[in-house]
Amino acid sequence: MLTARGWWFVSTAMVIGILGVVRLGWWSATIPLLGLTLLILFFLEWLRFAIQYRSTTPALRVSRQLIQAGCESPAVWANIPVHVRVEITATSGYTLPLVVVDDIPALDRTEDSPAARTAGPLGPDTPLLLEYVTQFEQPGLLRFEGIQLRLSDRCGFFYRRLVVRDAREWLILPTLVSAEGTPTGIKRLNSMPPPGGHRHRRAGTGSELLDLRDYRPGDPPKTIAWRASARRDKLITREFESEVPVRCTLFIDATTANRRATAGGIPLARMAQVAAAVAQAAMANRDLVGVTVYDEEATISERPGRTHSHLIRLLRLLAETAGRLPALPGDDPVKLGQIAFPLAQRIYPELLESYCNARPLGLFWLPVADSRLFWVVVMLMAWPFLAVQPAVLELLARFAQQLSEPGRSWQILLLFLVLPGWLAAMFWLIHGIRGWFASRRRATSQRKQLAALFTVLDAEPPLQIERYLNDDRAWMERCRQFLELHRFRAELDPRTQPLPGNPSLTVVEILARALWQTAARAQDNELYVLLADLSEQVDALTPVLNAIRFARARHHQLIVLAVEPVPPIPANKSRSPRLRYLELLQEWRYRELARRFERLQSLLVKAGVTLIPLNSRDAVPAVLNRLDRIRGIQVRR
Amino acid sequence: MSADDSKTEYAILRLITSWLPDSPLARQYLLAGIAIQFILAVALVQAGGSYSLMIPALGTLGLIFRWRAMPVITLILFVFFQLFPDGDPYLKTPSDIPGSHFRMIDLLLCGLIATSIYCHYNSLSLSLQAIPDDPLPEPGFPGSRMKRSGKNNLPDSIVRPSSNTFEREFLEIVAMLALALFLAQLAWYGLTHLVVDFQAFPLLRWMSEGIRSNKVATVWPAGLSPPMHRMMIFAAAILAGGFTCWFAFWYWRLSQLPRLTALMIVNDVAWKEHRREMQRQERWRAWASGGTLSPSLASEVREWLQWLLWLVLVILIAILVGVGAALFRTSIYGI
Repeated sequence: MLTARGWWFVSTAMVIGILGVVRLGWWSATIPLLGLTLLILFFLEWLRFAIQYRSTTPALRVSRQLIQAGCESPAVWANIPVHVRVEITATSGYTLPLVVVDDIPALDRTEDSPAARTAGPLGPDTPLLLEYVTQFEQPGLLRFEGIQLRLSDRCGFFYRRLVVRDAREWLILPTLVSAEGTPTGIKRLNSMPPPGGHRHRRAGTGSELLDLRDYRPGDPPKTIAWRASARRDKLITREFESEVPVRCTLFIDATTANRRATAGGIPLARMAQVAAAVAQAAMANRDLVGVTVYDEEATISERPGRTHSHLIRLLRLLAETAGRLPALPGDDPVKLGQIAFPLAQRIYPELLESYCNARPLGLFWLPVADSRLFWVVVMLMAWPFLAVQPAVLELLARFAQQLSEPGRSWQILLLFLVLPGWLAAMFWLIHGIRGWFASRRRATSQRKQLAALFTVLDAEPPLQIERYLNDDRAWMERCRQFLELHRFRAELDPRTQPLPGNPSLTVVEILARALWQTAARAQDNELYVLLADLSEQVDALTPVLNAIRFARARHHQLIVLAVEPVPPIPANKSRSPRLRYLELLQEWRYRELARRFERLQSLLVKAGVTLIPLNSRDAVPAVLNRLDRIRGIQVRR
Repeated sequence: MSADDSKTEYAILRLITSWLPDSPLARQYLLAGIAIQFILAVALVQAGGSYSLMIPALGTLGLIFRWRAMPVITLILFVFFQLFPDGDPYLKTPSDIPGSHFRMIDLLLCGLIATSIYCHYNSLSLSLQAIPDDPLPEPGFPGSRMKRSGKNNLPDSIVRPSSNTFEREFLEIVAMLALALFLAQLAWYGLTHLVVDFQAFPLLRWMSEGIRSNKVATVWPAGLSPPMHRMMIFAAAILAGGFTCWFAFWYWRLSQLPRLTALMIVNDVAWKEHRREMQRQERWRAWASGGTLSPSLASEVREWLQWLLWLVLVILIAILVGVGAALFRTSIYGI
């Protein structure tokens, strides 16, 4: 590929060369000689660059390391600087004089990635090193697709761009120690609580006296209360309280609505951060913590535990949960293609080149038979067959006689017979060539190239290309898979956030079922923390409220950390009526959600449950305080 | 010497050298380019024509101020002053083709011009811009909100990093230049001594002295003029060289195709061969399985109406243009 500099140089040299050879050599032989010298120099430069490029690029290798706290790690922590180190080596070939390396940033990260770029010569003895420091604010999944290389010669005449794919994924774990999870005060009791124990008023094997009762055969002699037995003149047995560990189960709402970025961040990532902070702080106190993640389709549970490996498992689960992507818009095949094509161009540029992924002209022709308007053509074409009927022909001839001068009616009659056919032909032609015009042509071209790419990636036969071209549902499904694999985050315009609709019964029922099952399985009173967006479901919350009442009846405690509605971005005096209309809709959306949030608060208060906004700084301390209360000690946070 | 004196000296030094680029390699190319411009000035004075001193003067300014267009302007000016040494287009010099091979002055001028252009381009790559800017990503992709800077609202340009390889690079340029000069002289010799003969094989033969001295086109082989002979040989040489290189690199690329690209080529060829049959089959299958999301009848009719509107508009414009032309003709010629 020639650069602008190369084009100017070769064009000038070519003009001088041709003019010199053909005409100007007549006056001065220096001119053709100069033209020929420049052209040969240019050719030699190209030859050298082409040989360097062809011999070096197949032997390129990329190795990537993410270094945190001085060592390479398979997972990284959020909010802690990460040192990204990418080494590009050419195992054979010549030295390329100039290679510019750009890291392809992870597509789903909302943080502004730093300009990760390096430039220099690249050869067998001169590897290139790309290093930069970045920091990820949100937990989730991190995927690097590879690197983009731009190669040039020394003078800047030639230029090539290629992508070395090296897809690798890392988990971004929620921060290990959170500031909001750390106690800011001093413990009133200067003693560590027993390992995770709290008093449970049920007969057990603890040390605190619960009650006295008559002796039953089989009771151990050491539990006999001798003094009480002497007073009552019968054997009396001491019953002790049960000492059980404090258990906390976190319910995380991973439904699609919580995966979208809002003005207050991504709610699901915030939930994962809060859950991680709670889990770490509780486990530091040797309490047991479990997590239940639910969405529209399934529920994943991690039973309460307090070991170190359990904490790692929880953090992995939370990172994977935070990394879930919002659903892609799925009802328009053209729009999905428009999203997927630039992504494919960025990651698979060489597979979209015309020499291996062709778009013949016939591909763009729109057959009229595929349209409902085909019947118009059929009727127009059928007209002559109808018109040759004697009765119709006679009628037409009479009509033509009235319209024209005597003796020339055959012309009108011929027109009656031929015109429909001509119209049908024009209809067929115009319908067909519409596919060759800009927007439709681009959409068809993108779809074919992507279809071929998907077919190759899946190692499918060529028939699959036609399937993707003709079957819209199969096409959309594959596009969605492609975008999800490469972690494309579809963000909505803040002005077009979906309006609060009808509550989703599925989500409510899934949460209620999870709560019922957990409460029913529990052996002693536990703390349940619901991290959820319940504002939309407030009108259908009965199943959840029933489950909450059941849990409360079994002496479990509940806290709801709910996603609070975020006010819309202030309008910036937009004069466009459409934008103003959208802004008004968003204002209405916010008011409606705020109203529902208040209603949710009142419903939960009636059910005896505390509601705290998820984005509040009190969210984590409130949960830890409740755990402390259950445990029986007070810590000021 | 006091500290103030050294500061002043440093400031003066900085002022003097402020036009030099930061990269050491670029500075070396720049200074080499300026030196070559001086030698070129001497050579042009020797070759005659004082107006042509404008070329090294402008070339030096272009190097110092890093003007991107200066190499091309230098070439055009050089050609102009070669044709008209006194700057007067009406004063023509006689042909020097017969004795134009392997002359020292030609070698010197061509070599100096080509080296100065190479130095200029290398200096630009090292100090201004080495590689074109990539277009910004599509909206919605990371980097699409990249801040642009500079007066041209462009991202920061990429320059070639400096290294300590000036001697080696310069030697390579000189070696390549010597080869190019030699090949150019050979090519020019061939162009002026070969003629196209459609009756001979391989269509070329050496020109005899008798033909060369006779400048009447009719007695030249194939009845063509000498420039046409040179043009045909030149075009044929470029085509033959281009095809050979294309074929060699095509085969090289084929021999080292990556797996995915090879699979893509095979799939694409198979698709192109059978797409009509496959299309028929898949269209019916998609229709039967409900996979086709047909546009609504209303949207189809709407689109058709838009097309008809455009068609009517085009016809109306054509009629208006026709009527306007007729009226114009009537007003001018009265017919």
